[in-house]
Amino acid sequence: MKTWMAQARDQFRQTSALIGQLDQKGFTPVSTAPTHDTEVRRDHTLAIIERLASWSPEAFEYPLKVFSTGPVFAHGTWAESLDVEVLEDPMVDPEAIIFDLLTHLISERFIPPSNRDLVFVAGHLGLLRTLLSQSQWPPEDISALERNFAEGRFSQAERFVAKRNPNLLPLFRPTPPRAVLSLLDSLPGASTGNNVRALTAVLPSGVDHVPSVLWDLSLTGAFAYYSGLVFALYARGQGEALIKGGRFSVHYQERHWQGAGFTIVLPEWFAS
Amino acid sequence: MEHFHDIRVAIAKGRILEQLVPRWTKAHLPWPIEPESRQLWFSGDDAGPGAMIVRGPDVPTLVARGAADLGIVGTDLLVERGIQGVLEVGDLDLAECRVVLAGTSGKRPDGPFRVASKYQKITRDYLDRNHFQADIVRLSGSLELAPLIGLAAYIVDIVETGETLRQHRLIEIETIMPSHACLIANPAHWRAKPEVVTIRDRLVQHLA
Repeated sequence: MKTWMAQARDQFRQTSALIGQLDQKGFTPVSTAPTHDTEVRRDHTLAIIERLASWSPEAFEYPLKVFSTGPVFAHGTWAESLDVEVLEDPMVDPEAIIFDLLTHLISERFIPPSNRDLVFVAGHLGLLRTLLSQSQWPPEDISALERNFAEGRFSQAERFVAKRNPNLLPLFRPTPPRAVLSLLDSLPGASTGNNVRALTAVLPSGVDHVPSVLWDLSLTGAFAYYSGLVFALYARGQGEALIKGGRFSVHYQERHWQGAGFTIVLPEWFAS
Repeated sequence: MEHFHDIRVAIAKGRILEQLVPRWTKAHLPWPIEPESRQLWFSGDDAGPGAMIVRGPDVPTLVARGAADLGIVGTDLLVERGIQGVLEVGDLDLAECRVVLAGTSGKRPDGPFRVASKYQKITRDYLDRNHFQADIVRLSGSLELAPLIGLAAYIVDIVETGETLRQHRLIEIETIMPSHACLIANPAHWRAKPEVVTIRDRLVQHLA
């Protein structure tokens, strides 16, 4: 029991240090309820938005930097998590603040707490849709492909892409940015390549223990509200992402909410 | 040059394990399992991944939890469990069989009845699709006994040649779904370990 208690104290200190960093960077805690009528909290993002929706639009000063802690219910079990969100004016890209924070947390060794090799993987729903539209895919086929990826049916998705655009297949597995750019630049219309170039520039790279930044358009996120860039941070050898996040767009109580954020899955973070 | 020493593949024991060796070696991977060994875990080396031999229903759990990077399991078990937490990354085109409805008469059910199966979800979906009214008796094996001892008039079970059914004087009525071995991957390992993708490509591309 002594070991168990020492471990619990250690995890509490690590979480407190992480929250201290969020405080220093100007993020405000928002308390959210783990259960809601007949629903349990599966994710903090919507819970935060529900909480903030009681304020009038005039009360908001963007960017609104918030976080929430507590367990979420996923895959039949509760897991402690820490969720960080930047709500932004609809005219402004929200990713820069999030990636500035992530780069800080990684370079200062808050993520991961031990010395592990990290792999940062980015996908992009907007880019996926643009690419396939440019390749004359009908909208219903694009939706079907996204659904296959979201449900983990990769061999079916691969067959779908191979039949129509086999040249795009490398984009649907983890690929270094240079190879992705070279492929995109070879396609008609250079805008997709330029978009990836701009996005790659803001991703948390260049930190000594983040050797790999990869693009993978099969990464579409677990929630329907993701609308653009989605990402995950993995520690090699660990079977679950340490961090998952992306840009979101939500319509709630007749208002549009957009921003970017990420969730730190605390049990995975402690184990890393 | 990739090294595979820290890659683990969970393999379902039974017909998948029995038929996998030629596929594995065609993919230029050294077969890690020692013949005649009763061991369940064999470590990998630079040339090839390690393997663990487990019950079919446990393969997706081990992969979802990250204890194995890849898993090889029948599509019947994957449909039964659902693919939450894993990626279905390739068909292996081996251990082909089918999930069937069988009974003593060979006639489709008419009216309420009982059916014994280890496949609760597949059976329930089949019954609903066909507007059958039936109670499912949950058994984990030796299903062929159920009609013979009066426990249930029908069974939903997996068959390869149908010989076991015939030996128990049961008649195949309808194929509910075909099944074959498929390759599943842990999503984090798939994206963070390039060797996992390499092994998948080798196993899938050496099918012909």
